[in-house]
Amino acid sequence: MRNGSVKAFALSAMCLCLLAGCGQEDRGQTASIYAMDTVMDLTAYGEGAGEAVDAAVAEIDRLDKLLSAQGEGRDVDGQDIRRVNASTSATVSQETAALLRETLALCQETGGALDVTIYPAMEAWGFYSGEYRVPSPEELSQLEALVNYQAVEVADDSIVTHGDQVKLDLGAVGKGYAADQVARLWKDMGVTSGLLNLGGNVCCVGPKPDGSDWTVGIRDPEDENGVLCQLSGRDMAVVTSGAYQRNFERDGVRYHHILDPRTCAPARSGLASVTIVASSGFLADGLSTAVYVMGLDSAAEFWRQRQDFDMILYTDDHQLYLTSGLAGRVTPAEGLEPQVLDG
Amino acid sequence: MDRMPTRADKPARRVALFGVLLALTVALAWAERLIPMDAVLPGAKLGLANLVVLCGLYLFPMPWALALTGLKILLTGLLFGSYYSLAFSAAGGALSFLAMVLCKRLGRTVAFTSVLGGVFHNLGQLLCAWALLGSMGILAYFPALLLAGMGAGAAVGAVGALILRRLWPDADKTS
Amino acid sequence: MDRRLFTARELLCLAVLALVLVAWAVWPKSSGAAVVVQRGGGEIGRYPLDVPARVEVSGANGFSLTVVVQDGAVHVENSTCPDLICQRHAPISRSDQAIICLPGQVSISVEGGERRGPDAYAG
Repeated sequence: MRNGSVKAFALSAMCLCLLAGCGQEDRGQTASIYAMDTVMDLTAYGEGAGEAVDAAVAEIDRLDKLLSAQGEGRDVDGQDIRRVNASTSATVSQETAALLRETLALCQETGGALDVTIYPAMEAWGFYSGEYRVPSPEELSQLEALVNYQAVEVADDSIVTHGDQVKLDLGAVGKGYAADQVARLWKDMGVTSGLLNLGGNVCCVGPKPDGSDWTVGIRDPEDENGVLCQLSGRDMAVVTSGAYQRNFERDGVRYHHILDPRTCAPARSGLASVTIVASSGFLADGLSTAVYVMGLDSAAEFWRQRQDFDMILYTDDHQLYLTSGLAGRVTPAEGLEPQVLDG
Repeated sequence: MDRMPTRADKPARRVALFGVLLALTVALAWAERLIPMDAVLPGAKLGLANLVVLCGLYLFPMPWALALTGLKILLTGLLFGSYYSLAFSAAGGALSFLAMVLCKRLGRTVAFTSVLGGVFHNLGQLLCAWALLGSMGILAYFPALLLAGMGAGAAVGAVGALILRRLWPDADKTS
Repeated sequence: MDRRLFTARELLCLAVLALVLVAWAVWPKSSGAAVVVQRGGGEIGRYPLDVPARVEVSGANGFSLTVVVQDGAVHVENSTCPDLICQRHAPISRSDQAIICLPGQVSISVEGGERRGPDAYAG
């Protein structure tokens, strides 16, 4: 058939297909899963998004087992942290060993505000079992002796040793590390745009599919439906910690889950919410706990010395502070006037 | 070699052809389920089975063509679908058939008839869904599904035109 | 046998139709601010799009859906309908999008608003 009309028809059909394809890019592939004790949403955009999301789910499941301190069953194969906690000396995978070394280094850099050996204290307060209680002052001093990250050593051959009754909990960095792993995996798979929300631990991979910045809302501790501010950016991890996330009440006093390793009691630093913005999820996650324990002044000082992250601090008396790197990227809620910390 | 009979004019030939085409359309309906277009766009189909309906329009007198279409909808609906899909198939099939008959009467080309058939098929399904739900949400699907109907109709139309031209060159395609 | 597949007039007509449909499809829509859930054409629920929520929706014929509003979008997390097309649908957040469950006669759509919520909530 030498019909010119066939060519015209074929051409227009192709154009239609292309145009139809244009609209599809917006819709990413999302998986919602329950892991590391929380709800996680993983969204990837673009070609291969489905495979990327499946791979991410598998990776998070693997890391959940690897790093979880809690678990059922006697078989601790593939569960490195449980094995470490079960005896004073255990061999772990190279990955776990590397992560532990980095975490211990972070504990040191934060002067112990972050401490991976916080497990016995968390256990005593009932944060693992859900059976909350207030330990006595004597119990707290005993716990203080046990909570000491310096009692943990990771040898070159990936053998982890620690004192008797010392136990590790990587909950403060686990989700951040998982986010980093997924982001790296996605970048390797060619994903240029994605969004991870691991139980409130947000990680933006690349920009949005249309090339603009992501907007992340920082929750208001006193209003479930409100935000303190909106932050825009790309390729960033945003982690928020606050007493409001997990707490219980006894005799009119509120006790929350961010324990000060030095006292083994909930940190009372004057901060209601701490948000760390960094390129590394691990750093953002670990620092969100540490900075909460430090309090405003120490945190500002700590930030000035490093400046490899940014933070948004909200105090108990409703003052909002931003580090200078965020000025221009943060839109505060109505009525909030942020103060900028200079480096 | 004997030429293929045109217009299936003799009763025996007509019945035989009808049977063959009916079986073919059911087979095609089964085959097109192997390629699930509706994961991409709910309600989208390749429309392979409509190839037979299209040809039937030009090979049989109107009542037979209508019977072929009706039986196709019934059989494929019962064999491969649910009550819901049967309702939508019927709505789409009816509107599509009407549109194609009109096109044929107006002397449009085979391919054009098929494209309009595809569009009206999906239109029928959308209207049926709208009637069932009554909500404005259905509106969101209109442009994409109608475009898909055009595309599928065009593809099937091209194939149909070719087949009719080659196998039944004397079939009257303009009335 | 030099008959064309389409006549010139027909091609023109189809091109116009296609153009109109494409324009309709890609026309920019305002972003949404309220999730509207309907069953059988009647509104059975309306929720703000920027408030996380989980709603059990009873559809027709005994089917039920778990509708989740999260991070400025809404999707069907779980459904007992036979097709599960609604469940496979990606989360929606714009006023031109909709998730439909035909067996349950449920329609989930977004009605327009002024401001967009953030893409995700930290904290």
